Amino acid sequence: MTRYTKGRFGEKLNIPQGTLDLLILTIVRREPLHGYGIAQRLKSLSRGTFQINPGSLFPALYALERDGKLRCEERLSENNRRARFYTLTPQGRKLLEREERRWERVTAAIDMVLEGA
Amino acid sequence: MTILYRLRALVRWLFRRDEIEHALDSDLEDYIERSAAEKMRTGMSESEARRAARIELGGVEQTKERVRATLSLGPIETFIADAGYALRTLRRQKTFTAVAVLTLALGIGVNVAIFTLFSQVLLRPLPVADPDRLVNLSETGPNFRTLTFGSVSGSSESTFSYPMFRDLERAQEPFVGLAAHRIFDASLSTGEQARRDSGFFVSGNYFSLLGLQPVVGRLLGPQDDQADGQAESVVLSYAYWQAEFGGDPQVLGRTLIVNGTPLTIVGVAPRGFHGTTVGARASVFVPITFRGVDTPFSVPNHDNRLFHWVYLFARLKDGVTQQEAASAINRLYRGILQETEVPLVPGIDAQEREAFRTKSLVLAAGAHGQSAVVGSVSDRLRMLLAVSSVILLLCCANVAGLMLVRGAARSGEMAVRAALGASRRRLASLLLTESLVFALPAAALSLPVALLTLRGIASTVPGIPPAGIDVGLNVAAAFVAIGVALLSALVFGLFPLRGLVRAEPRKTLHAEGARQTSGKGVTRFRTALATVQVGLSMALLAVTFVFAQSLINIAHIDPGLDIDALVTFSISPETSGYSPEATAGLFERLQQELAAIPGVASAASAAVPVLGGVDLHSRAAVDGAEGRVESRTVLNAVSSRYFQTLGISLLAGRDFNDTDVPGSPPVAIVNQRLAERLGIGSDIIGRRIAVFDGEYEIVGVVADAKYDNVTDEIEPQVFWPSRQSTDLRYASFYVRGERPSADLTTAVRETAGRVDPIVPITGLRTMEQQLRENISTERLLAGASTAFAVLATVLAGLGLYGVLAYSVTQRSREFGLRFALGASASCIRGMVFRQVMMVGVNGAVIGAASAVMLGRAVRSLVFGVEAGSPLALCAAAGVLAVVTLGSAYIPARRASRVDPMTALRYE
Repeated sequence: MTRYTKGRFGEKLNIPQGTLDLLILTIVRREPLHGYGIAQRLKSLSRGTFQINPGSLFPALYALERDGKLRCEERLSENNRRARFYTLTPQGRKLLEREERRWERVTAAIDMVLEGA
Repeated sequence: MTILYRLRALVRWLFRRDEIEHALDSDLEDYIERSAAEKMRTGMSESEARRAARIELGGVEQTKERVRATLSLGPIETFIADAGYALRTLRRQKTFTAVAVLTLALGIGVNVAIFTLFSQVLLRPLPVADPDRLVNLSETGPNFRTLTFGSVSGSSESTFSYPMFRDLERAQEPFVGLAAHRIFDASLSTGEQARRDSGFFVSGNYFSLLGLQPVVGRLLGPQDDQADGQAESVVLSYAYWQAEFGGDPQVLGRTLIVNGTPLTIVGVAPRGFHGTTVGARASVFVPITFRGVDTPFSVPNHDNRLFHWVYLFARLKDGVTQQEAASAINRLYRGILQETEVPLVPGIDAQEREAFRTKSLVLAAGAHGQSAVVGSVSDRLRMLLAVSSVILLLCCANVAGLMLVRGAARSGEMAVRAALGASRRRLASLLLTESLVFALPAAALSLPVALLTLRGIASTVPGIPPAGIDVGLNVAAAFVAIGVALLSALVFGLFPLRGLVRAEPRKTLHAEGARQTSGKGVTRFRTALATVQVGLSMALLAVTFVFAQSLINIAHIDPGLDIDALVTFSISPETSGYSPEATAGLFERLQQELAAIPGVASAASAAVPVLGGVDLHSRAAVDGAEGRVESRTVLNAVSSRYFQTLGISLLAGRDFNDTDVPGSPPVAIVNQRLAERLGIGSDIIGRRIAVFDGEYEIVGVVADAKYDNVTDEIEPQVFWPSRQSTDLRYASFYVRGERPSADLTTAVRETAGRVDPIVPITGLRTMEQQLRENISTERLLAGASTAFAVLATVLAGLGLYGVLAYSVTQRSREFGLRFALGASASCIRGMVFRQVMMVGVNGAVIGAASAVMLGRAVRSLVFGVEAGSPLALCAAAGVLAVVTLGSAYIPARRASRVDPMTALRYE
């Protein structure tokens, strides 16, 4: 959180603790995606602010899969290679909704504090 | 919820492990592929792009490890993985595993069994309220003319007369209360066949003093022992209530016939309470005012101050110490002696009177109840416990040795693991897990071993465990023994790490080319272990020889009896409702019928069984040439032809005959020892002897023979003709055949059944059997110590073999070199044997020293042998020499067959 490095669109930031699951689930909600795709999507959606390295991404993915929030299917991708695509399960969808609500409340609360101060 | 969840995750993770690894591979490969493709689009070459992608990934293995770490369940999983690995390794090393597991299981099992016996017999207090406040009473000092009657509850010194009990009971000062009890042979019947059993005569306050509550009904109280000679109520033990009445609460108010007297069942004692005597299991509790106790001759119990038969215990008042209580009760006791008892002892001089008057009462802790058994068994158990803990030590030493060898062989493996990045903690946990994997089955296996040992001891040795003691495995003992064994396995299991702590893994790897360490330290330590083992097993062997010698000596003791072709049994007609007169008649008839059996030379009876462990003591006084002389003496009432039947020769005077009847002058026969003790010699015939409450004319002197125990010194003995004792209660019969015959026992049983089918006979056996039972202690000790010594010797042999085999393997290069330089095979063998000789000699020194110490501890248990006898030491040393040389044989042969080429090629 305190480490800042220069990125293409301003500073690179570490992903706030506890929000990686939220981000992964959000990205996967739109369409099933492989690991590299998730990392790229995260980077592009955050305009380069969040860059996740595989050493953090894969443990999170596997934990979510183990807990039944994500499901994996092998598919042929665009260049005709087999790859594992992560999909949201109904349980994962529920978790995502819960996490979204929580995040909204957190940001709202932080906004309120900042405005009130 | 979370636990369930974690468990499910664990199971899934364990079963899907391969699948996950596979997925991880494909995920990461795909990632690199895509990342590289992306980079190539920006203009990198393919190899450059791949390299960059790998760097971005931050190491494939590291990433995998992070995923694994996230998914794994921490220590549990590590443990399971290590355990799996250990199991696979141990399955490969079958011999090692079997030897280690069996050794540990034996060591633990035997110890648990012995300790269980030990704690049950010696450490367990009575199941009563606050047992630590109970004290047992006994008296020391001269007992002129009194008849003291011991039993399984304790020696005759712990007995008191009933009037004395009532006097002392009035001592309100130091005690909450004073209670009396006496165990008796009960014949119990609910109307049908009577059964022989045990009971307790107890005073009215017995149960309240013990703080016991009834299961049903009420326990005996002060209202139950009001009038001497009367008793109406009986309390059942829980076990008897369950067995005989099926635990029926309706049993209250029903009648139980106890020794011919109908009594009303008023209650049931609490579960697990069998009376206050360890070694006895009472079924009924009867008021002590019951009409008579089962002495061999009926003595007026309740008003005779000279007849000592009740045991006393008291509960101390709060805040009163044992000493304070003792001095308070002694003031009262001396008063009673002075005023009441001194005048009852006629014909003693002033000095003796003073000694009698100042006798004192002794209080002893009573938490364990009152029992002669505890005393006699405790020495044996202590001895067995000491020996079995030596065995446990030997087992631990052996397992430690095995672990050391195994560990040394694995130093290389550990170094490789450490070099590949395993942390020390990780290695330690691996080794500990491995130790546990074989220590746990050993612990589990030790329980059946313990049970078998207990069962074995219980079935071979009468009196161990004493009746009435429920021997279940002692949980604490099991934990301690298993703990010790586990600890030794664990500590020595960590040995391979030692090298890593001290030195860099690099060095170990370098020096040994990832093979074995030189292990000089290991060899030295193992040699020391083996030396100690040899020493301890030599000590045990020496003790075994001492016990064996003692057993042989006992077998050669001349009991003074001719026991060949002699059959004995006991009978107690009174408990079947016989009057004293009818009893005397039955005894006469039985003796005649038995003597009439074809092939029977003669038959006789005695009131006190010979070699039966029971004694009846008093003092005898004879008017000699130089005044009155006295001696402690044992007593018996015997039938005619008794001496002839038992093979005791008459030295002077006459045997009892048909003229010795009630009403004729009372006569007695004494043994030679009594004549010698009184210093009168054969001149004793015709003199008058005063015993207990009567005076008799001595008509004969017989040869000395053993009385109650084979190993006891022969005491002065006085015999009365049983025909002159008007009220006999029970007797032991002796039947001598013309030659030894198995049919004799059967014929005796049939004859006894024909003479009276109602009165049951007990203890029918040959005298030889009786003698064997009489020396069961000695046989137990000889047997147990033999078993232990064999075990110890085998363990020491194994340990020594292990050391030598290991050191020969270690030195094979050296041997090879020596061969190459021209050493002969016998020269190499000599080197190995020299090594074993050192162990043997040092071990023998340790062994001799510990044998002498052990011998001192068992001195009281052996007969006619010096404990540290040189003969035993030499014999033990001889056995050990054979064992040590034997264990060196294979390693020496292997050393002499080292192929120099093979050995040196390793360099």
